[in-house]
Amino acid sequence: MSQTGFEAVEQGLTFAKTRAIVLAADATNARTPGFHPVDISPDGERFNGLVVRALDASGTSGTIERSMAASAQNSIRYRALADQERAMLREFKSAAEEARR
Amino acid sequence: MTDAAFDIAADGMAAERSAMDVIARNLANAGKAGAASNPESNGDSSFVPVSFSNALDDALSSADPIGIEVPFANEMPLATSMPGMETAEITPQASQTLRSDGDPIGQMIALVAAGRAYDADVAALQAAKQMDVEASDIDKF
Repeated sequence: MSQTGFEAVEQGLTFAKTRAIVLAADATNARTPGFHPVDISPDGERFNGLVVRALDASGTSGTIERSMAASAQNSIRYRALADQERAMLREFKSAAEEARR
Repeated sequence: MTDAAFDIAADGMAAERSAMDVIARNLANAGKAGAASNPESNGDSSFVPVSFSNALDDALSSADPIGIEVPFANEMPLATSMPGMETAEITPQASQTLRSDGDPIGQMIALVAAGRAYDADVAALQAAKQMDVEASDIDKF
């Protein structure tokens, strides 16, 4: 297990947290006239980079539903990453316990 | 960092709650004499975009938290009759005015929209909460 694996998982966790904020802002402002929803995605080229993209303003309803669905998806993704990190830590713990014997 | 998501969702819920309060007040006052022309009893529940610079100025000039702005609707002249309807008993006098939000159907639609937006804020709050719970459980391996 490499340090890079940990970094990748933590990057994913950080990204999901940031996206949760963006999606909360989309849901909160959906009914504000003139509001244009946005979303973010990881930048494949830059370490820790983010790409902000404007979404089609599909009206209040579209924005609300989209933000709710994306929030649920983001939450599940965060949970999967947290499980992954826990599993990696468990491996470290096992290795440390084996080395102690 | 998800504290911001909590704050945003909470502000959104507060705003939708205020909108629902305005709608409820409008519906409650819909049948009252003079309510249509009373700006204190007939408000507009729609949101108004506030520029970032104005919000920043408000925040810097006041210790009060930033709230939402609930403007009153523009007065609209009321048609004195509708085609095909007997309006002798129910039509207000021509001198009376009705605000754009005085329409009960429109108010109910706005109420449903506010309820759905409130639900979306709750979903965002639940997602942020779930993420914080997961984060706090990472060390339990």
